[in-house]
Amino acid sequence: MIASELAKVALQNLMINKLRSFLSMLGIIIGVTAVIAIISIGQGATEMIQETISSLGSELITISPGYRGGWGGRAARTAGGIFTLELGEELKKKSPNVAQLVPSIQSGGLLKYGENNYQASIVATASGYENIFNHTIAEGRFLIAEDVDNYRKVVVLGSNVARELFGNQNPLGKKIIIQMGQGRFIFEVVGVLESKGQVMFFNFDNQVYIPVTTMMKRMTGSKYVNSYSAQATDSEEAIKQVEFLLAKKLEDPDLYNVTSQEEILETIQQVSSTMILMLAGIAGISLLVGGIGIMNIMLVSVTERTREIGIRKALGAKKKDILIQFLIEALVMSMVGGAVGLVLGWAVSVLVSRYGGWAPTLSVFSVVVGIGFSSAVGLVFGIYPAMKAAKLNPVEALRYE
Amino acid sequence: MGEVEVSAIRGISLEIEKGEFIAIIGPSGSGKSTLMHILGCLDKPTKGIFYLDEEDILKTSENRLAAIRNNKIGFVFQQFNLLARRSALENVETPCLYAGKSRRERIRRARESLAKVGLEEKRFSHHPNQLSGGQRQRVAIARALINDPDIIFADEPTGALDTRSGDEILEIFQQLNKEGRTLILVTHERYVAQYAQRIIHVKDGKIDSEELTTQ
Repeated sequence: MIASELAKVALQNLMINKLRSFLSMLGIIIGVTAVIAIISIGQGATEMIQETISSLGSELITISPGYRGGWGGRAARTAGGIFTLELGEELKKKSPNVAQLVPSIQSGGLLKYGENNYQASIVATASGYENIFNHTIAEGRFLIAEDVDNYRKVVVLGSNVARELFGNQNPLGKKIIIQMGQGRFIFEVVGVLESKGQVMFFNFDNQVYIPVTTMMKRMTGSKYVNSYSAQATDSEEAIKQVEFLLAKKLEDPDLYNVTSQEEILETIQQVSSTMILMLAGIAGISLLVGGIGIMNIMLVSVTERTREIGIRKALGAKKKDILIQFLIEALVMSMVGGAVGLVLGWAVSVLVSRYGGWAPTLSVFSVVVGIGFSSAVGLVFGIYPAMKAAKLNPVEALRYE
Repeated sequence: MGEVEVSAIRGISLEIEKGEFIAIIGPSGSGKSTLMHILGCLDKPTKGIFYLDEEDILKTSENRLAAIRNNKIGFVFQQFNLLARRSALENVETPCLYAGKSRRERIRRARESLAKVGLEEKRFSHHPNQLSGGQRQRVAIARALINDPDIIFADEPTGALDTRSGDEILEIFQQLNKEGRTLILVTHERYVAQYAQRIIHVKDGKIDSEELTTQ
């Protein structure tokens, strides 16, 4: 018996009970939609994160404090009081593969201009920072060496901060008040950065930049900086050199962390692919539930059509013919469900990607998973009802009312 | 199922020649339907011997039985047993489908078969519920004939029909017998049995008596 003939019969049978067929397919539709959408959204988002991270400069190295303590009942905290300006200078001088290195202190404060105020992140750093992080100057200039050498009270604003404080006015040359803790300091705006948008967990556009020396000498009185950011010519070599120098200088390797952008990228890739797999796995469970739904409806269908099966057997249908007929019905149901789910999942991922601002991706993998899983589900859950139908005794089936 | 052995028929010895027209008659519960199911290869007896054209039916596989039902035997039932969601033509085609014939061949044969039993062409596309009892039974006969079987089994074929269409159906059977087909008619009506050449009376699972008619 020809399979295409059976597929036609199966489709006709499904069309007779449209609502019932649709409801039985719903589980598969939802499952495949979820799997496709999750994989596609996950890939799109990961690609976007990777792109923004590499937009920071792929040879970026961060030297940050390590964690200290954490045993004997004490909470772990980041090590402080380690990095000095001089250490930074030394690292820069003695590491041949480090092209540029700037210290930074992250802090927060309230910025005021006239009636407007804005809570911003304050980064105290030095000239060169803008090159390391690929910032573009929209107006004025970034911090220069003289600002740092002379503890000048100058500030460079992120684009959001400039807009919030000044609106349409030109901020260059204006004096703003930075309120940090108990102190109030007057700074002159010397530059505004171009918007960079959200990168991972922080937004560069909400930051303002002041000379690191101004922060240390005039505002906090601290002798230490939080971290160093460096631009390497070869990040692998640079990490080795910096780690060697720090090991000699600080002895305790727990006091510092040296990470490159590449390592961060790798970590993010690992984390996101694990997340995607886990979410897709959860979505896969709904495929399983969908399969059970199909099995249920197929069992009902076999019982309802017992007499039909009896007639077909009396007319010469072999076990195999009946088996194939019901199996194809289950397969058609699950595969139509899979196809609908594929389209819906794609639609969902296009919508979400438009909202999230990345290019929608439909990978071969997700199509294979969607169609492959749904047909596998149809086969696995269709075989039992089909076998039940095929095994019916013709005389008993004919007698069935 | 199968735990209790029920002897619906026992001690039956019956020989049917090719080309005979036989009526099996008996009250309900006499075992005549069981006898027909066995003769029609729908069921195997638990014990005994049954040869069909020198083939030992008790020893044949299920697939072989299906093939026998498909091309050697045609069934006509009291309740027509048409597939409700298929047109007359599609119903008639079905055995041909299981015989693995092409679509074109199936349609050709089905039309031929339906014309032979006298169904008007405009009714070919009708579904069973759009047809009268007599028309339905004609479709069922056309279906039984499509693979050109040697034997036709009719189980109370006139039971659900009025006298006039019943007579017409019985005349078709007589015609088929004249073409050389073996006909086995199961009924409980004496009047219907009169169409056969030989009447076998079944009672309590045994052959009670045999008689030859004037046919």
